[in-house]
Amino acid sequence: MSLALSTLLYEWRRYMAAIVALGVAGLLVLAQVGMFMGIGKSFTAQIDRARADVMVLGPGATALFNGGPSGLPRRLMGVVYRHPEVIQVAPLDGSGGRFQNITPPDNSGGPPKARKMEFVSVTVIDPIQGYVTVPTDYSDALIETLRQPYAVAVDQTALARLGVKVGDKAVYNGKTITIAATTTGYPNVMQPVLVMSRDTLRMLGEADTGERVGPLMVKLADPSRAEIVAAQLNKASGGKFKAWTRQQLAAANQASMFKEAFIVILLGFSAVIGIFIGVVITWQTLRGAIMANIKEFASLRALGVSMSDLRQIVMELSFWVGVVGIALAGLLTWGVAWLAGVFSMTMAFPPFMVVGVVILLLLIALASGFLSLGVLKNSQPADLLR
Amino acid sequence: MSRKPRTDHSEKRGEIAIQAHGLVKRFKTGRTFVEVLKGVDFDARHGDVTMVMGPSGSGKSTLVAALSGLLKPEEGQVRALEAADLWKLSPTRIDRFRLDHCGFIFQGFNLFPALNAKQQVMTALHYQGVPKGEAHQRALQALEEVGLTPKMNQKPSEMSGGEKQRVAIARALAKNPNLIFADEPTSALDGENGQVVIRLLRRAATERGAAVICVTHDPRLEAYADRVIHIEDGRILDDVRRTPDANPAPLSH
Repeated sequence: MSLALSTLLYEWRRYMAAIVALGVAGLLVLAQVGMFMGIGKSFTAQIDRARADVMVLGPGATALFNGGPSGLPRRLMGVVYRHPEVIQVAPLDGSGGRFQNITPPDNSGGPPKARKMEFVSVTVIDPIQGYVTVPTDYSDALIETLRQPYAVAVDQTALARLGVKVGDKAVYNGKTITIAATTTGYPNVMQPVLVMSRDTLRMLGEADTGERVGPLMVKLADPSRAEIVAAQLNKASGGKFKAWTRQQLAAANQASMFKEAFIVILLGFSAVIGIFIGVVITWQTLRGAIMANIKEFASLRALGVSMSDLRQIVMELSFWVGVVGIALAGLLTWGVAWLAGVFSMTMAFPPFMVVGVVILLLLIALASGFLSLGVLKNSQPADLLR
Repeated sequence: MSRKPRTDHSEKRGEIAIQAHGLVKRFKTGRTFVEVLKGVDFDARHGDVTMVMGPSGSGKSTLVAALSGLLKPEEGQVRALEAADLWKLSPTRIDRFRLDHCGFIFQGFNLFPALNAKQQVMTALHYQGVPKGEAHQRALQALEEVGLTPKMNQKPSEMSGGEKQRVAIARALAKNPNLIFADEPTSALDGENGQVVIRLLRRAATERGAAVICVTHDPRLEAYADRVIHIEDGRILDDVRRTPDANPAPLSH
């Protein structure tokens, strides 16, 4: 084991402030990334967990939402369906609007209590078992229930917010619907989601019935060939649509979150604060720790160890402080994500952001090490001679 | 235990290892300069324990610093081993010179708290470029020489002052240095441990042929010296060659 690593392990208390600073700086950024990505993911949860192996979007779209118009002319459904490996094609449909609960009249003559109004978004499924639009964890009973006209399902985490319970009637965009079932595992902190059948949406007058439809969900005979089929579809598209595998689209959806200016501003702000706090605390901690061992460093200098070798020890030390800080950031973030889960809040951590934060923390640690190199000039071996 | 090809410089005994002429060193204190070394001539031979004695402030530590390439004198030359004028070398070459030829023993032991005895010795060898396997063997050998084999896996916090100083000696000896500079090596130790330390230095000179230059103000160490140089006020007062006592009186009494 190297001198730097042994020193860090043996004198870990001395380095704790730096490690905690890095951990918290990492948490600051990662927790927000997790939150924003989680929110983004909760809007597409029903789609992400459905059986579509390939999604077909309009040619210019860069993501499902927030990525430009993603719909297509209806006639292109046929083009996609013509591929021999495609077994189901269904357009994504949805809507959104004003939701109000209906409370029983108060017999005492006062105004009705606990009236609630929320803006909700609507996701559509085709209530057929195993169909491409149906999330894989929907039970047969749930699908059966949604087959009823004007029946909707909401996630159980949204019940209180909407002020309803199963069996209640409610008003959606001025029309009466029934809260017929609940789902679990589809929390959305931003906006409650109503799930309903395509026919219910049509009866509400909000379905795509014209020339254009939403993005297409495509099920393949062999899901493992999604990449190949997507490529073949793209070749046959003539530039009129673009096929994505589900993984590609999920990644693009997450990346599209960074088109939201407020997310970028908040994350950028946090990153700057994280860098500032991280560098200052880590730098000062490293300085102090090196000063505490300055006589030992000086004795190495006396024995002829060069200044550049000592610098290397300091840089290695800061590298290991960074590594431990990253581990702590991971642990803290895991804790926060767990806590968020307890409160039904989804957090998601796209790998490219995690890698980015890891690199950021390592750079903070190395920059701090670099700034601390100055104290080594105090390692004057002549001072050891008195 | 298998021994390395050449682990000492015993064949050089009697040759001059280091020689200095007209060393002048000034320190600035406030607006005035204090001359700490006032044209000191000095030499030391392989196989000798050369004791530099004098009261505090006499310039003896400064002399060692100038001799060993740690503190550049204003005037004078130091000729050491193959270096005709040590202070004409670049700082990098001076580092290299110390790395290759010098061992240091300080009053404070200056051991890394995180490393055990074996690692302390091996770290010094690592920077000298000794391969790991050989460094390991040389560390064990050096620790055996200072009688610390049973403590080789202990950290400084688990050792007494005397043991720590012996680790520092092992660290210096493992390099197989031509020159060993010791600055008040016994002053932080009790008599018994001090005796162990000075005996080890004596042995390094006698058996390995190293030139041991030991700064001290402890007159009892004189008994172990081949040569005693008294320095006072930046000048050498006297330079006496003597035969080390066969059975020196114990340091503790």
